[in-house]
Amino acid sequence: MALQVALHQKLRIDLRRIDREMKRIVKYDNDVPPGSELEQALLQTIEAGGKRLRPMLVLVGSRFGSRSNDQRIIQLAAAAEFIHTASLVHDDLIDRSPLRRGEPALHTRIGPAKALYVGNYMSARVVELLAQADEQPGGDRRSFTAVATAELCLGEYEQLAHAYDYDLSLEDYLLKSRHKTAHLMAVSLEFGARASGAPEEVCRRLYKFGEHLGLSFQIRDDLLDFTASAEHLGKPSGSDLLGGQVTLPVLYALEDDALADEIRRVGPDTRPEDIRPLLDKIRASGSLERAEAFCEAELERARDVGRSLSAYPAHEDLLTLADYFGGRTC
Amino acid sequence: MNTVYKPYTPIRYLVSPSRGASMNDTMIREALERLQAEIDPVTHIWLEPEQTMLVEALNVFKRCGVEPLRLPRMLAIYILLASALERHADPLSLDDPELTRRILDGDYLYSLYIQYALTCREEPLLRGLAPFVKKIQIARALGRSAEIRLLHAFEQVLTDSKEA
Repeated sequence: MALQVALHQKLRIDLRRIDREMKRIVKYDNDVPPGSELEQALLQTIEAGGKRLRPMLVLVGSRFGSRSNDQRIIQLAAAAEFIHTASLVHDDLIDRSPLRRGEPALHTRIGPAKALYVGNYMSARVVELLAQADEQPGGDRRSFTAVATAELCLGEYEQLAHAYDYDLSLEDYLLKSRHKTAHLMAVSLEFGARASGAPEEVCRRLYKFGEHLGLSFQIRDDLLDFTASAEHLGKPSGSDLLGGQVTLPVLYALEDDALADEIRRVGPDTRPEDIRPLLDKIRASGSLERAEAFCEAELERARDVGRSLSAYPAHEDLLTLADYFGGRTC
Repeated sequence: MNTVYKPYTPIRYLVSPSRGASMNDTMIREALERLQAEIDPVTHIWLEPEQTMLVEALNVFKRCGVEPLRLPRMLAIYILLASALERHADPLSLDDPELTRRILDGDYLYSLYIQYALTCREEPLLRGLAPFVKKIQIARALGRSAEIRLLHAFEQVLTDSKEA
């Protein structure tokens, strides 16, 4: 938490403004009955908080253009978090996770159907807002593509298709991670820049920066399955491995023949207690260090892109983001 | 509206391209062909909409003055959105082994609906439908799912755009 506070402070971003905008988007919707279960569910979901990384990326991206102080940018930032939050609500349903950040997940509180529709509402509301904004002068039809999250879905499909697939290639793993995580981060930066009038080449580089950053984020997240406590994760360590997710540390561990035999025995019926010795062996195998090195290399690529934008003072914010992602607690 | 999964095989049409096939059949076939080409193979989504529903949609579009060349893409957009909504329709239960697929398919088809509408330069339609799609989700969240008919929403948007 301390690191997250430091990030938004380092980036000079008032997260309360984002939260206020998210609530405003709900409360100013005349179609949502005041005091209804839907309104309460939406406001509680917003109040439950989060890292707000994607809104921060939108705001940093906007600093590469001339209209970074527009209210429209704040609305886009809130919209990016709406899209992310909707995907989390649906992810919890897909994973049948009863908890989110240690608290009952939305579907646990209001039931699966209503939770699904709360997520759908958030996506639909964003499209409606973009539709209204894009009718105004200077509106950009491409902003719609920010909410076209087919890539996120493809990442999930790929993950499903490769569950317990120990022959997964590194390329397939990277493709899945780009779809599932990196794309929305990259799009957040790109659209912040585009909405504030940044040149097209800058928007393109910011997308690239976000893609490297997002990939490093996903790998760091994969490492947490081995390095973080159950309390920190909100689920037992090794849950990804147990659930059939073949992550980068597992891919490296599979290169060791003895470890590979043990890993390949992990299947849908394996119990958490059965994999504890295996987790220790993977930790001792050097696979985590190799994954860490890959993560660092991605961050360095991100920094290279950041440095290529040194004509813009905001490039320092990109380097701050890369440093933050590099120092994320494990 | 049925969505079934199967390994990728050559497209099987609901309406066979036989001699004397009606104009509607041709347009339905063209719309489905376009859509199946847009759907990523990794999803294994196979759309099999009911023909009567598509004929009804075509009749509404024609009544609203949609020009013939625009009809197949209009129908494709309608199929995508209707399929997305159908995949997320209640009842939904955590015990349903298809739940994961239904959520993913609904999300994917909705995203594809936006992307495809943009590809076809149908932003005005996308804009016009946006409040209706949102109201459908609100109605569902409030347990009043039968309040808004999708085809009626299309009709209203198309009529409004004709009058504008």
